[in-house]
Amino acid sequence: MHRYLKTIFAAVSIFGAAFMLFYAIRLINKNTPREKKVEVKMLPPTAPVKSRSEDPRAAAGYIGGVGLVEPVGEATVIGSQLAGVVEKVFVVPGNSVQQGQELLQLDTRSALADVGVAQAELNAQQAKLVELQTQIDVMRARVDAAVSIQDQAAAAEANAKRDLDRASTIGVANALSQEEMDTRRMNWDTAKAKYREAQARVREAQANLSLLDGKPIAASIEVQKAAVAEAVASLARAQTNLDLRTIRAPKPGTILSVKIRVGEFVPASVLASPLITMGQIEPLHIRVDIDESEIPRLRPEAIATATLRGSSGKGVPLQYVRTEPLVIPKRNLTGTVAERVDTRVMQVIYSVSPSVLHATVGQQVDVYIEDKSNNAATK
Amino acid sequence: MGLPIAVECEGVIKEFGSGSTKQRVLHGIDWQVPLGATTFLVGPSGCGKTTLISIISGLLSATAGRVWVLGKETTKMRKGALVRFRADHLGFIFQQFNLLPSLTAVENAAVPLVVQGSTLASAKRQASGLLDRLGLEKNKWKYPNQLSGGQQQRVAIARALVHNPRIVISDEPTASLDAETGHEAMQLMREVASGPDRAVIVVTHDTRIFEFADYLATMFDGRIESFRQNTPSESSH
Amino acid sequence: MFSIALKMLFHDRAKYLGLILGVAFSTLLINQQLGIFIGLITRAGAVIVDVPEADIWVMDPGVKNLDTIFPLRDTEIGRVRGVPGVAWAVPLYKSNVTIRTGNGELEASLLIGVDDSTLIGLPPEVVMGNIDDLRRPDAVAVSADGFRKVWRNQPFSLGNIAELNDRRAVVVAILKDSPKFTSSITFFTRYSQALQYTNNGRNQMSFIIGRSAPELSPEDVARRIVERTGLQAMSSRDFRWKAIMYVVQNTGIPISIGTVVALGILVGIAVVGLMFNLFVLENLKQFAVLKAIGTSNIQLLGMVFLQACVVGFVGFSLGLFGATMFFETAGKSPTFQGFFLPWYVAVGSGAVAACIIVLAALFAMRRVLFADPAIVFRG
Repeated sequence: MHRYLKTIFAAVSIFGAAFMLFYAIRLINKNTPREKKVEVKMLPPTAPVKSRSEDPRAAAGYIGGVGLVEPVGEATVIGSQLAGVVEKVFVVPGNSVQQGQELLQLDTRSALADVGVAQAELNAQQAKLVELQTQIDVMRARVDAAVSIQDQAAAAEANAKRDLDRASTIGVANALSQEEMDTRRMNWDTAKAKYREAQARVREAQANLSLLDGKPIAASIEVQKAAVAEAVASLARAQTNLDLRTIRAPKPGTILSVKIRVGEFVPASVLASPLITMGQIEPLHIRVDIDESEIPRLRPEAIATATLRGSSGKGVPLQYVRTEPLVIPKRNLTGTVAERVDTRVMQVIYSVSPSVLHATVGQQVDVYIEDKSNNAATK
Repeated sequence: MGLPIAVECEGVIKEFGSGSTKQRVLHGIDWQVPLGATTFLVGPSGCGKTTLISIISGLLSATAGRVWVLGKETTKMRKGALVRFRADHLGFIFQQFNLLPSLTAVENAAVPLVVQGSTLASAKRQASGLLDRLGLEKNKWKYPNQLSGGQQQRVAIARALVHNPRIVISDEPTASLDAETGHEAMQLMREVASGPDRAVIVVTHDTRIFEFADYLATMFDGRIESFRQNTPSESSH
Repeated sequence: MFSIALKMLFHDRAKYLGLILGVAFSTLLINQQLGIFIGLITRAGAVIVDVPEADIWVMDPGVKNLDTIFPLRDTEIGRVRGVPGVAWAVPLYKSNVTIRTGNGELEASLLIGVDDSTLIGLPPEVVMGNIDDLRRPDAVAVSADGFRKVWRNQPFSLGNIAELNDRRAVVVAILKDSPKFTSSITFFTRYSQALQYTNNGRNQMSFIIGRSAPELSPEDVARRIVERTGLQAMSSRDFRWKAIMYVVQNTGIPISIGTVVALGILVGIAVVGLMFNLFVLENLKQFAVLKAIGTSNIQLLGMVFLQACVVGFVGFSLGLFGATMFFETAGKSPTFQGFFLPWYVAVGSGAVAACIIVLAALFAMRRVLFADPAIVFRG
C-alpha cells in the first residue's frame, strides 16, 4: 500500500470516528427527554402566603376546605299550597322582590266562580234581613188594628150589657118579651166572645211584632243576621281561595331560580326541584365543609380567606358567622354523580360582601382557615 | 592476541527447563571476543550458538557464569539498564532480517534511533543517508515485501548500524540469500561495519563466507572447541 | 515509538477493520438493548413525566405504582392544601376505560381527568388544537399515538367523536404524551367530565398533584404532607423511581433484557478480546524485534495501549453512532415512541468498551512482556 494512502486511511478512520462520536453525542443530547419544571399557566388556589409571613403565629399552617356560596339563611324554596296549572309567572331569576310581591299565579277561574257564588248568597241574605226589618211596621199596624178592634169589641160588649141590664129592669114589668130578653142576653154573650177574640188578636199581633222587634231579642232578625254572617264568611273563604292562587314573596330577596313555566301543573306537595328559589344575597354566606379530622384545629376567630376557582391571586377575607352544630355526611360538590364519601364534615358559615367576592350563589370556592390551634403552633 | 576485548564470557552455563526435562545447552563457555575484528561463531545446528549470542546480547540470562560486554558485567546489570545498554551499544542483524512489515525501508532503518529517543523524522533523516550509502536510494520508501532479499538485508544492515553501536551481532546473515547476494552482503558488512573500535560477531555455518572472518570460533555441543585467527588459505577453499 | 505503533496498527486494514467492527458491534448491542430497556421501564412513570408542573404526588398509602389506584376522599385535597409548603394542589383522575374506535373495534385506553379550572395535568406539548377548548362540554384531548390508533389512516383532525363508556367525547386537541406500558391511547379531559365518563360512584380522586413552595424541596414538603395527613406523598422524581422499580422487581423485563445486554457485553468482550489478542500475537515477532533492539517494556506497553485506545475510540464511536441512528430512525415510527439512548448508557457503554479494550490489551501484553526476545534469533 502506498504510504500516503495509509496515512489518509488512518486519518479518515480517526476523524470519521470523531465525527460520528460528535454526531452521536448530538443525537443523544437531542433525543434525551428533558424533565424540566414547567410553570403553570393559571395558578390554582393557593394558601395566602403573604398573611402568613405577616403573622408569625399563623406560621403553623392552614385548614383547607371547599365552600359553597349561598344566600343568607340558605335559599328559600317557594312551593304552592294548592295544585293547579300556572297562569302567569311574574319574575325571572335575578329579580329583586319585596315582601308580598306576586311571584306566580295559578289558574283562578274556578276560584273566581266560587267568589261570585258566595257574593250572591250574601246579597240574598242581606236582602232578606232588610225585608224582615221592613215588616216591623206592618206588624205594629196590625197590633194597632187589633187593639182598635178590641176596643170596638169592648164597646160592643158594654153596649150589649147595658141593653141587657136595661131590659132586666124593664123586664120585671114585663115590658119586654122573654124573647126580647133572650135576644138581649145572647147579644151580650156574643159581644163578650167577640171582645175575647179581639183580645186574642191583639196578643197575636203583639207576638208577631216581638219576633221582629222584640226586646231584648228579636228572634227572626237574629236568625237572618246569622245567615248574613255565614254568607260573609263564605265569601271570605272563596276570596282566600282565590288569593292562594297567587304566590307571593314571603320575604324580600332575590330570585335565584325559576323552575316553572306558564301552563305547567303545580302539585301541592314538597318538590325535589323547587318552583322558585329565592334568597338574600347581600351579604353572601359561604358554607365551608371542614373535614372531621380538622375540626379540633378550627377556631372561630381564625382568619379565613376564600379564593374563587379559576381565578388566581389573593384570597378574600371572610367574616365568621356561626358553626353549624350538626356534623353531617359530606355532600357531593363535584358534579352530577351521586357520590357519597364516607367522611363527615362540619359546616362553618362565613359571610362576605358580594362586592368583595364576585361569586354567585351555588359556586364553589376554596377556603383557607388559619390554623391557630396549640397543636399546630408547637409543630 | 593483542586486541582489546569486546566481549568476555567466563564459565557461562545455560540450562532450559527444569526437573527431568532439564537440558543443559551451554556447558561453561569461556570466550573472549576481540574488538576491531570480525569474529565468526560456527558449528552444527543445535550446538548452542544462538543461545550463546542471546546471552551475550542480554536477551537471555545465563544460568551461571559471568559476561562482560565492553568492560561492563552485563550479567549483574538490572533489567532496565540492560535494555538501555543494548539499545545504545548493540546492533542486530537477524536471520530472516525481521524487518517490520508495516514500516518503510527508511523507517525500519530508523527504528533503533527512535528506540533511543529520537523523533521519527530526525531518525529517518539519519537513516536515509546510511541507506544511500548502502545503495538503496531508490528503494528507501518501499515496504519490506516490495524489496528483494538482498535489499532487505541491506536495510537490516542499515538498521544494525544506524545508531553506531560498538558491537554488531549477526545471526546467519546469508541464510536466506543466494550465494552471490550473500557474498555481496558480507562484503558490504565488512566495508561499513568493521572498524577499529567495533566488534562484529557473525553466527553462521555458511562456509562460503568464512573468508570474511578475522577470527573463527568453533562450537560443538555447548562448548567452544576452538578459537583461532582465520587465515586466508583456510577461507579460500 | 507511538508513530511506529500507529503504523503497525493501520498497516493491516482488514485486521484493523475487524477490530473496530468488533468494538462497534458490542457497543451497538449494549447501547441499543439498554436504551430499549430503559425506554421500556421508564414507561412505568410516563404519567408522572407528563405533568411537569407538579413536583409532589399524593396518593393512598397503599399505592405502589400508577396502575393500581385507590381513590382518595374528596376532602383530602383541602387537607393537603393546608399543609405548609404546598404552593398549590389539584386533583388528578386516572382510570382505564374501554373505547370504541372509528371502525367499531374496542380498545383499552387511559383516561386522565385534570383540574377543571386550571387544566393542570395535561402534557405540555400540543400537536393540534387548543387545550382551553377542553372547557367545552364533552370535550376531550387525545394523545397523538392514540389518535393514530383510534382513527387509523386519518390525518390529524379535530372534532372527531369517540365513544367513552357509551358517552360522547369530542376531540378538541391532540397532545403529545409519553408512551405508557398498557395502552398508547390516552384521553385527557376535565376532572368533572372524567367522573361522568366513568360514573362508578364513590370516591374518585386518584391522585392529588401539587407543587412545593419555591424555597422548599418537594421531598421535604412531601414528608410534611405524610405527617399531617397520613397519606402517601412523594416528590414526582421519587414516585417515578418507585413506579419504575415496581416494574423492575415484578416483571420479567429486567431479566430478559438484562440477559441480552449481558450476552452483548460477553460477546463484545470475547470478540474484541480475542481479536485484539490475535492482533498482538501476529505482531509478536515485531514486538520481539523491538524488544531485542532495546525497547523497554514500558514503551512496548505504551505502544499496545495506544493501539488499543485508537481501536476503542474508533470502534466505540462507530457503535454509538449506529445505536443513535437506530433510535433516531426507529423513533420515527409511531409504534416505537419513547425510546431513546440515555447519555448514561452511552457513557457506561464507553466505560465497558474501554474495559474490554484494556482487558484485551493487558491479556495480549502479557505475551509481549514475557515474550522471549531470543525468538528473533530463531527462524
